[in-house]
Amino acid sequence: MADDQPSRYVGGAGPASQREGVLQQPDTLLVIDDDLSICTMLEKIGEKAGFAVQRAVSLAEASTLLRERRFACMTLDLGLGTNSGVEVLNVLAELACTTPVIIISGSQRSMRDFAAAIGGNMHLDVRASFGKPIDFAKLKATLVEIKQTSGAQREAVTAA
Amino acid sequence: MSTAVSPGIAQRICDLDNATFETLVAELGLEDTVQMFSVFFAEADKRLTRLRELSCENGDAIAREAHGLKGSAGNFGLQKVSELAAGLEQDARTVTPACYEAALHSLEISYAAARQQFAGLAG
Repeated sequence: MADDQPSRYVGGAGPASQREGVLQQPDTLLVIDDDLSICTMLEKIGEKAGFAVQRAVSLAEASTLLRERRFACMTLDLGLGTNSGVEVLNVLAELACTTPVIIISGSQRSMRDFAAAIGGNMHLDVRASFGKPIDFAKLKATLVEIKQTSGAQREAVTAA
Repeated sequence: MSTAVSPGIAQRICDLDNATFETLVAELGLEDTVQMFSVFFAEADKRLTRLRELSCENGDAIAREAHGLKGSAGNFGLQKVSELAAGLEQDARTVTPACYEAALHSLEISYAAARQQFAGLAG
C-alpha cells in the first residue's frame, strides 16, 4: 500500500467502559493535535461528518479531557510538541478507554503502524491511521462510519 | 551535505497546489477554507519566526518545527514548502550554518509565493 493511503486496523477492546463520574459525550470528536491549523481543518471535517468537536493541543490538555469525559472518537497526532502521541495511548490504556482512535501524523508510515501496534497491544481501539497530506474524503468517510456505528450501538443498548 | 530538496526537484513542485485548494472548497466550502488558510498562515508565520530564532546547535527544535511545517504545509497544498521543510527536518541535526541559512531562505521565498498565490485564489 502506498505511504499516503490510510491504514485500517482490525481489533478493538470490546464494549465501551462506563467510568463513574465521567461526562459522556457520545457525539463528540476529540481532536488531539498541537498544530492549530490542522486542528481547525480536522474540526471542520469532523463537523461535516456529524460530530461536535473539541480540541486538545497538548498531552496535558488531552489527559485532562480524557479523564473528565468520554468521547465518541478521537484523532491523535503522534507529534505533540516535545511529547509523543504514544504518551496519549498510555493515558488511554490507563483509563481502559475503548474510544475509537484515528492516528493522523506526518511521520513515516512505519511509525504510524508502530504506534497502532502499540495501541493494539494495549487493547485500544485504533481504527485507522492517516499520513499527511490527509485524504479528506477518506477521513470523512471513516468518521461517518464510526459515527454511524456508535449511534447504532447506543440504540441497541437503549432498546435492550 | 544535502539540505532540503535539490533545486531540480524544488523547481518541479508548485508553491500552492490549486487542486488542494479546490478540494478543500468542495469539501468544506469557500468560507471555511479561507478561515483554515488564515489559521495556517498565522501558525506558519510563527514557525518560520521560531526557525529564524534557532541556530544550528538546536537540531531537535529545528527538526520539531520543520516536521510541523512539513505536515501542515502539505495539508494545505504548499508542496514546495512541505518538501523543503522535510529536507530540513531530515538534516536538522547535522546542518551547517550556511546550509541552514540557505534552507530558511528557500522556505521563506516559497512560502511568500504561496501566500501571494492564495491571495489570488481567495479573491
